[in-house]
Amino acid sequence: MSSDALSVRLRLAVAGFRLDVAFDVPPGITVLFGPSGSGKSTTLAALAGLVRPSEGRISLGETPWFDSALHVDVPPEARDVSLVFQSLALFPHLTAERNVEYGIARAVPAVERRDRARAMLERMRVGHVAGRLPNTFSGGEAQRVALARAFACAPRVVLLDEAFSALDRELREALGADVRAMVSELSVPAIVVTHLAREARALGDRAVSLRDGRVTASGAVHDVVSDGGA
Amino acid sequence: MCYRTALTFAPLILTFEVATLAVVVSGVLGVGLAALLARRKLPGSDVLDGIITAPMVLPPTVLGYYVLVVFGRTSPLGRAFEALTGTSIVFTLTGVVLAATIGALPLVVMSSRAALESVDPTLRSAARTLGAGPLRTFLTVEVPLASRGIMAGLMLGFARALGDFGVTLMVAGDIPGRTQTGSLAIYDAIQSNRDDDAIGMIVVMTIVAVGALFVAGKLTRASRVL
Repeated sequence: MSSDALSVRLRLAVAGFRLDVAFDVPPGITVLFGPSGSGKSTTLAALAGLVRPSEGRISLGETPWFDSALHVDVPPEARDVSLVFQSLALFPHLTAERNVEYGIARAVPAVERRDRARAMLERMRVGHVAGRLPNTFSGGEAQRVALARAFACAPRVVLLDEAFSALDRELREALGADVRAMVSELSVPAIVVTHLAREARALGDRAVSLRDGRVTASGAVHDVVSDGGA
Repeated sequence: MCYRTALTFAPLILTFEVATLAVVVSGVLGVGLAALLARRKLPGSDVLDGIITAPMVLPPTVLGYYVLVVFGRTSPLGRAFEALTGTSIVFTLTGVVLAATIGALPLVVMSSRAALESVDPTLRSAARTLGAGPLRTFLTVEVPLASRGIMAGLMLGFARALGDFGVTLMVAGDIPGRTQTGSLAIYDAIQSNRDDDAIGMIVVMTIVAVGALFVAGKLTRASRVL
């Protein structure tokens, strides 16, 4: 196992739904694939520290983020994980630049934070919206600002929860290429949740298939996800 | 004439000073309590909620009695306060501010709580995953997004603090120049047939209180639109 791979072994029960999954995520994009209600988003929430598993262990390399046996539960803000929500969750009262700046460590001087935010917005091809509030963005601009915010804080793990689901196919493919490039550059484990087979095969190196809260298959994406999806 | 004028304006000035202080105190305390009630699954949160909102329904004399029991000169809190500051809570300006704060607090808490509860919890989660701890998340995401509702609560609290009568009378008395607020001065003026003195204060307090309610209404409607 690579020293910076994410190891996931977790069980939890939420409102009658039981999740019991175990898989590893090496650097690169792993697609978490499955129908609605299979536990994909709950798994991401647990990895980000937003939902507490009842038992199991989540670790990045040798560093445990959660370990029920050792009573370790690192809070979300200390996990160095970026999560792009399905709703994007851009802060509506902050400009694009301030949204992106928000995730950059406070120890970084303000001027450098601003420069890094602007550079990441440019990189995501939305430099022109830096001074605008989210309610003025198009769907694609909002998506790109959310991605810029996720990547600007130099995360050690990137999680994308159906982040492209509201976009048309052309835009999804363009953003997918940008995400692949960024993940490759950062060389971090990334998990992309999707229920679309075509998107899974286009984005992922590996895939983990979930159904009813359990892993049904994992491996190379073309082995796990059959063609012919949406 | 000068004496009359001074007596007429002094209670109004004291009232606005007291209402401002009460809003500051109930703002800090109320927003904190609202955050607790809005988010935490605290054991006994229903009881806490009931205690905070009780001043809205309790008779002022009953409330005043409780305040005297808790903050009176013979109570542990009252003695501790006097030992620290050299002055008592009852029959002082502190007592007037305390009475006004107790009246304002439920309004601040209720409005702030509703505003904080209306903030999309996903934004809170997003802030946490971006490295913000609970306090930074609260101050930089939740409070700004709930600011209109919080401001509406503060305006309502200010209007309520302007008009406190019963609790102020019980806790701080009616000492001209020291604890006599506008409401008490109006009562005294009417009782002693000095209606002219009362009218000026009534008009000023009505304009300010209705103005505060108007602003609160505007802010509340705006926060619903956001």
